[in-house]
Amino acid sequence: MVMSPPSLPKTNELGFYEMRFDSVGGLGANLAGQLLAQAAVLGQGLNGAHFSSYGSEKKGSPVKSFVRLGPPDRELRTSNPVDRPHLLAVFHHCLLKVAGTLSGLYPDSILVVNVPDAVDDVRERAKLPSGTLAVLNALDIAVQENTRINTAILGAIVKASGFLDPSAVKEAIANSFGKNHPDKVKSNLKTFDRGFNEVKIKEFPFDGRFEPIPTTRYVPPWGYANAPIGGIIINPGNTVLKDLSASRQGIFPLYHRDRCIDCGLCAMTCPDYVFVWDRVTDKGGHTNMVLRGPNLQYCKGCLKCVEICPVEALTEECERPEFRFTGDPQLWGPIEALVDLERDNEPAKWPQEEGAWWRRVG
Amino acid sequence: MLAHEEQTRVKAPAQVTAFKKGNEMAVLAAKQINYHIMGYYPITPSTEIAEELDELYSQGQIQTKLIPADGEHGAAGICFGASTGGGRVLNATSANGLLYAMEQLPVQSGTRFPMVLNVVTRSVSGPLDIRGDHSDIMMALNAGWIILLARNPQAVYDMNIIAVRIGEHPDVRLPVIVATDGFFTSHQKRRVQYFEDDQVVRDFVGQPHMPITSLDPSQPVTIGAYMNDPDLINNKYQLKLAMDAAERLLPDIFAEYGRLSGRTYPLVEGYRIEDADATLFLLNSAAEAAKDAVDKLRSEGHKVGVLSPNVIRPFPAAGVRRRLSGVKAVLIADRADSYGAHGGNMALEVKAALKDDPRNQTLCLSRVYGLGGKDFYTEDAEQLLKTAMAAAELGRVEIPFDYLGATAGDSQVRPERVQAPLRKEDVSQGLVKAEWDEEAGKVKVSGAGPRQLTAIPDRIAPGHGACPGCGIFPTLSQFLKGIEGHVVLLFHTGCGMIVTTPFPYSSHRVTYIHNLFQNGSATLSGLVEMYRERARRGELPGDEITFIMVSGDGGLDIGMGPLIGTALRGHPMIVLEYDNQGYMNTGHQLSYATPLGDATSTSHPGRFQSGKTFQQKDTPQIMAATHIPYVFTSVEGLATDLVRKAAKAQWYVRHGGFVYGQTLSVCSLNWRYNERIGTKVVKAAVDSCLFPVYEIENGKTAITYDPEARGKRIPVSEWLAMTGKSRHLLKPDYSDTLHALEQEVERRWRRLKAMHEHPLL
Ligand SMILES: Cc1ncc(C[n+]2csc(CCOP(=O)(O)OP(=O)(O)O)c2C)c(N)n1
Ligand code: SF4
Ligand code: SF4
Ligand code: SF4
Ligand SMILES: [Mg+2]
Repeated sequence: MVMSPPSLPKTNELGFYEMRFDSVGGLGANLAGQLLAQAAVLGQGLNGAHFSSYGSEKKGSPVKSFVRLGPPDRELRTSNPVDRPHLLAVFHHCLLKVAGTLSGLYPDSILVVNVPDAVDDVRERAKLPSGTLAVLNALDIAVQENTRINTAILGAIVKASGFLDPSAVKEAIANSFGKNHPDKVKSNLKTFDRGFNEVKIKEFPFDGRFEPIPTTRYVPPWGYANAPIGGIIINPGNTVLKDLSASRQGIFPLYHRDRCIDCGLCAMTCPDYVFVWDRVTDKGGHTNMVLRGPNLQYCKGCLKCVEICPVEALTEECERPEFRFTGDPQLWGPIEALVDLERDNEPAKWPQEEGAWWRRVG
Repeated sequence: MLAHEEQTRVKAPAQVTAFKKGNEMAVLAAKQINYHIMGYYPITPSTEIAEELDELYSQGQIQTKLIPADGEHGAAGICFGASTGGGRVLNATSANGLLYAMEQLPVQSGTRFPMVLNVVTRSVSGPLDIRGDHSDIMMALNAGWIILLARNPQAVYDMNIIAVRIGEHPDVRLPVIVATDGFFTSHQKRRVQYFEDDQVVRDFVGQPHMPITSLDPSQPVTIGAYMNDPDLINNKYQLKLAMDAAERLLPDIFAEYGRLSGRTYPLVEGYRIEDADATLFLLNSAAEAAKDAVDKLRSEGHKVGVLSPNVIRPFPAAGVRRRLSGVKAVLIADRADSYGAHGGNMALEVKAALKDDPRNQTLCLSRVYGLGGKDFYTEDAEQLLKTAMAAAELGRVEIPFDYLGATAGDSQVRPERVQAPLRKEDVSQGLVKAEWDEEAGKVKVSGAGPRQLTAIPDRIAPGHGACPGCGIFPTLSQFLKGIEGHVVLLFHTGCGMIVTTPFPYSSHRVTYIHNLFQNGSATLSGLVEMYRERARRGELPGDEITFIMVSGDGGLDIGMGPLIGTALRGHPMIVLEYDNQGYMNTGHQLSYATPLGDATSTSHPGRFQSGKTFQQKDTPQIMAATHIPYVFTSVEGLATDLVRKAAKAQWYVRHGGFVYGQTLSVCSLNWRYNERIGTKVVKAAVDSCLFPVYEIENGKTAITYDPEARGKRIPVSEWLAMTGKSRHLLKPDYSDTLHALEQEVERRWRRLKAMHEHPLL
């Protein structure tokens, strides 16, 4: 049943209410955006669009999902990413640290954050000058309901938005899961409701405590004047500058030197060339290779090494309390390829989910 | 007027409002048309069209026979052949796929067999860029195909339906391209409408009526006669007349479709252009974005507009001329350059169209924008409109041609080497030794175990972007540890390439080259010979560099021809294939190496299909038939087997031979298993004999790891059960497929054993 379309609380100069979901690959931001936009368009009778950004790397790479909504008779023409969101949802609070996450917020935008902390603390962390802040612990909900965080965050977004219709979104969720996972419909609807009900919302008027947030667009440091011609990279091997710790889904291999027999099997099996070895000369004058340990900057947490180690010198450990975003996100490189989260409608537990989303490049 | 509208609405067939992206709309139209044949080859961003049609096929929702080609050239050939048979034919491609098919495009149009090709536009390599611009479609302007443009997801649907009608019209009979902006339109969900009843579409396109077909023995015909001067010019004149006819007929077909759907498309659309002083000329999604800029400037009192064609072949020159007759300045912005032509192709064509009106005074400016998928914002359109307004006001053009959006870069930034080049001694530690064994008549390798091998630095640096648990990298690491001295690597397009070289980063510590995966073997053979020739002339020290090409299994589908050519010529180099049983980089489509029955995004299991429909390719045996000195297979899990085979491969290369090796490599993303057990998964494939580990040295086959002899053989079903891509085959519904796979595995294994035992086999 299409009801009469709601009026949008705010719009930009083109007449649209725009949302951006800043996320990490694998958390389901693409599907969330899609369900939300579909509900607003087909369920609430608005006009709208949904699309996602695409990064070249897999788990842990930044993903943005965009929703643009307008009155039913407003023609939708632009296909550009959302630079100035009226509502920004941050799917993992570690992204708050990443430069550019809050880019483009209006003074009265709504910021939804998946975070276990209290709303006042989150404002401090985000350095939010003003606006509405909505926080929820989506991870807890998802773990308890055996669903995914995206559904809980959807509930929070709908509540915070003030104009999106929860029943339309729930219908979209039910349809989406109903096709392939009818057994998951109930738990996902409950997850949505919990997100809707448990989100804590607080308004912060501008009090001068934090600087207004600028709107930034990425400009590559390499341009026509300084990049070597032909697209040639003259300093290869420079991926060592990257920090891939964010690719881990909360688990890492812990090295126990005392148990290690330096067999070398972990090094042979590791896809990410993580293990560092020293050439050591013993008292008898024999030199041999001795494992110093894994350099976790590059470890993606696949645990192949834990599986292969014959003496349990590597064990599976949880990274607590959370993902570690240790690096400068620019080191992830420019967004020149594509991550298609389209197929990622498999509900799974996070953070230990089996990586089953689809990537297509080239 | 209102009454009339009301009337047509009453008669109009029911439509469904939906929320879909461009590719989904192409699929919907194709489903409703129910094509006979689709020949295709996967390439982003068009791949989804074949994928979703395959899914519909597996569910029995369409009857279209989908044929996964060995490359776009093959796909175009499949389509050409099929189209001579009198039924309807579909294809979809992008970027280099279109270019690789290009040679067949004039064949299709010159013989006058209609079909429909969706070009989901993307930047042409190199450098490889997957995002959308028009550098591909602009290359097709001279191919003799009608080119319809689809500016948004709705138009993708509409144009796909209209394409059939115009192409098959008896006065036209030409193939038709529907060009959609990659990602901007293909991957953006919008509110759309489509006909509820497929029959409405089928009635609109009608029954295919092909007066000439290759399938009517009572009317034998010769298709593709040899035709020189003075005849060919007449054939081409007929094609020109067909284009003229299309230009004449399209308005009627658009109007008829408009009556049916309520959506009309003029040949060239003018937005607020009637009294405009300054306008833009733009194609597709960018033209849509520019309308918002026009509204804004209009509200500020400026007389501006946008002109955008819905068809570029035939180019609606008359309409362009008419619409621009009173305009003072037009800025034509192209999403592709025609390098050296002082403007993109559309700029040249608009200028040419205006020149035919001797009274025309419109000033023309040309700009190139949005290359490689760079976003085109409403502000960009506004800026371009202001540039055109300034020219209109000034009465002359200051800068006739320029780029919008190129950035100079940060002058403070210099590329800094962060890793020292590997010295020869670092990578020549003599840990693995290969020597000719006179007695055995083969090369004998002895060597270090894993612990010692850790002393050899990896030639690929950490920090690459592969998925956690990807099998490519342990495989490469192990193989390269068996190679001594300097190495030059060439990678085919595929995951290994994409994840190691995201500009401005590269994981390769040694010199690395990429060429597209249809042509790497040829490329490297050229380099090998340059090296040898320069060494012979004393320009370089010889005998120092080992040349290795790395390819996925898919790269040896599309690149099979050049690979065989390279092997037959026998250049001293190694080709290492990492076989992950599919096109992983583009989202797990089937490759010819995919085993029978596997679920991939182009071989969905369902009631009407049990996964991949044909048996896996046996590339090592194909390569053995070229009689090169050394062929091998291996996997990462067999400790030093792969390292030793690498050393042996290098021995043969140093003695002038060409070597081919294949490794089975897990894809932790798409095989769907717990990524930590990757090594076990490949070993199980070996133990099930689905992937036998052996070598063929100077024609003599030797199984180097025999699971039977070791008492480790497992049934194929055990391996199938390990991954999500093949687990379904254990269900009773698919027992025929399982049986066929088991039998083929057994037959190939027995044959291999016989070869192992018999010196002449
Ligand atoms: C001419 C052309 N056609 C298609 C593509 C798209 N494409 C890029 S990589 C790839 C698949 C490669 O498969 P494979 O060689 O098995 O390597 P993998 O991705 O599995 O590592 C495809 C289809 C392309 N880049 N160029
Ligand atoms: S596999 Fe285990 S024992 Fe062997 S080197 Fe690695 S950590 Fe040490
Ligand atoms: S968990 Fe995976 S990436 Fe990390 S060290 Fe082990 S094998 Fe390497
Ligand atoms: S998609 Fe598969 S082959 Fe490609 S990087 Fe990921 S795991 Fe490796
Ligand atoms: Mg492959």
